[in-house]
Amino acid sequence: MARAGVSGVDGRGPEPPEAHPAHRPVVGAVLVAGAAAVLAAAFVAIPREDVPLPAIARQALTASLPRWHLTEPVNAVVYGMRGFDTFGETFLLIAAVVSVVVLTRTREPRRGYIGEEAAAKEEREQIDPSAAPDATQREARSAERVERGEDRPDTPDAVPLGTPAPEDAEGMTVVVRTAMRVVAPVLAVCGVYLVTWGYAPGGGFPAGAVMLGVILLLYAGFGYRRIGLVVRPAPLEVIELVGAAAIVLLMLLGLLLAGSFTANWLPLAPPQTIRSGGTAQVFSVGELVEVGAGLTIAVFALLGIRHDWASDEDEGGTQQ
Amino acid sequence: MSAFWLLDFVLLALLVASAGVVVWLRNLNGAVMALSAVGVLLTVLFVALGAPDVAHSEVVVGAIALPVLYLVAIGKARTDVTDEEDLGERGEGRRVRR
Amino acid sequence: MIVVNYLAAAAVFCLGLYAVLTRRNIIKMVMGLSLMEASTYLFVVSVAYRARSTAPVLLNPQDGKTPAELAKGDVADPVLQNFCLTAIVIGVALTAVFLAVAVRVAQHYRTLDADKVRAMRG
Repeated sequence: MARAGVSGVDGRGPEPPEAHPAHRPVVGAVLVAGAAAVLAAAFVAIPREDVPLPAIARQALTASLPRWHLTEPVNAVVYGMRGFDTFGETFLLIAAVVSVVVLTRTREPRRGYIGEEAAAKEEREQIDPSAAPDATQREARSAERVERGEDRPDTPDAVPLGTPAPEDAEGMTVVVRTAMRVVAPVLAVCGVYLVTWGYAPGGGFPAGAVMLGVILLLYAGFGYRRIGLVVRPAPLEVIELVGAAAIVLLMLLGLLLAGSFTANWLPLAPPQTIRSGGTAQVFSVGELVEVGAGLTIAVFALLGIRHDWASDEDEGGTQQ
Repeated sequence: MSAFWLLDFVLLALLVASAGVVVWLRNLNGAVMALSAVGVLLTVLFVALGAPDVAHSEVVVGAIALPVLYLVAIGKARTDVTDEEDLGERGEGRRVRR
Repeated sequence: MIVVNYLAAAAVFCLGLYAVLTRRNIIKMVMGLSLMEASTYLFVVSVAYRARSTAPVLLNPQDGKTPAELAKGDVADPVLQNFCLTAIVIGVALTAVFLAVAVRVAQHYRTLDADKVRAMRG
């Protein structure tokens, strides 16, 4: 490690010579003022709101009903006419999720995202894990565990009132949990509603992010153990890639059956019905599955990040 | 100066104000909340400007995805960073046993 | 009057740029980037706005027009709104990657201060 003048490892030592921040605000302000001047000059000359619509927008608006039977031109453009652009954007999201997963990888393979490091602690500490612990050892070990405060109650209901905060139970009190049991399905239905009616505003991405919100709500209320069955790396990644594969298959069938990559090969139902968009509707549902699982993987991978790569024992590396 | 433009200017003023809060607030969690406020104000602006689809995406991103990512990242980064008084963030930078 | 939207977008963009250039905390820099992205969303939707226009939704339009008539009437620009939708998705994806990198930098270098990180490179 280049130790240019830095004595303490955690930045306590004298400021490294070239790291004085003094000059930065002034230089930053000058650069930003220049950028502001250029932007203002350019934006004043941009056509205002009384300019007629460009031809491409007019074509998108007029073609949305006859060709896609969709009364929502933005959806027709996003998932139909410019489907290839949305296809690229969806796979850019997958690339970002993959890079987050790679960045937050832990050293040992893991089944769940959180709480795995405490699982085998018991066995690691015992000298001979196969030897059956006798009564005194079991009692001593449970006393030690209570002292270290590791046997966290599943939910804080049993904790007597007035114990010093913050309580470290995994879930929340019974009031919050029952409220969540009522609200979570309603929110999930709202999320799916966003994507089902293709002829009204809404689409795959907002619905996927609403699914992320519902999963985080359940995680905050019930703790990771309760949702750990589904929110694990294995099933989530499979769900995400199934959604992505469905989108690819949909597009390839467009190539085979209807001549071009994102062409609509499904029969068009009459407008204002659930199947009115043809492949646009199926694309939107595929993106819901893919974005919902992808964002959940990204957030939980970031939650499950652990500091077990840089084993810098010499600097007192923390082996949490 | 119809009511629409009045609403538009009020929202734009609030937007630039909360953007300023994001830049100059020293407490990181407060800055994340200001960023979420920017997202929600943008959503109202998009509804006013006639873009319902974009408003859907922006409210979901501005209120759910971004704040969660930022708060998790701040929490994770802070458990290993010893207290840095001159770092411009007044949060409790102590080491936390997980 | 829409010029005010453009200038507000320019102002938010410059605030984000200022945050990226002068803040020393890496996570505050990522927030600056998010501000710059937010300003581009505002700018694109403001350019898509037309005078006295309604949203480009042809679903049972008001004042007796049929969807086909509304499609020819004064409606906001759907293609630009699609650009903004794509930009929002890409913005979220990139912010997640930036934050994962920021957390790894914080863990490896024990500091979130960009100047100290540059001094301790290696």
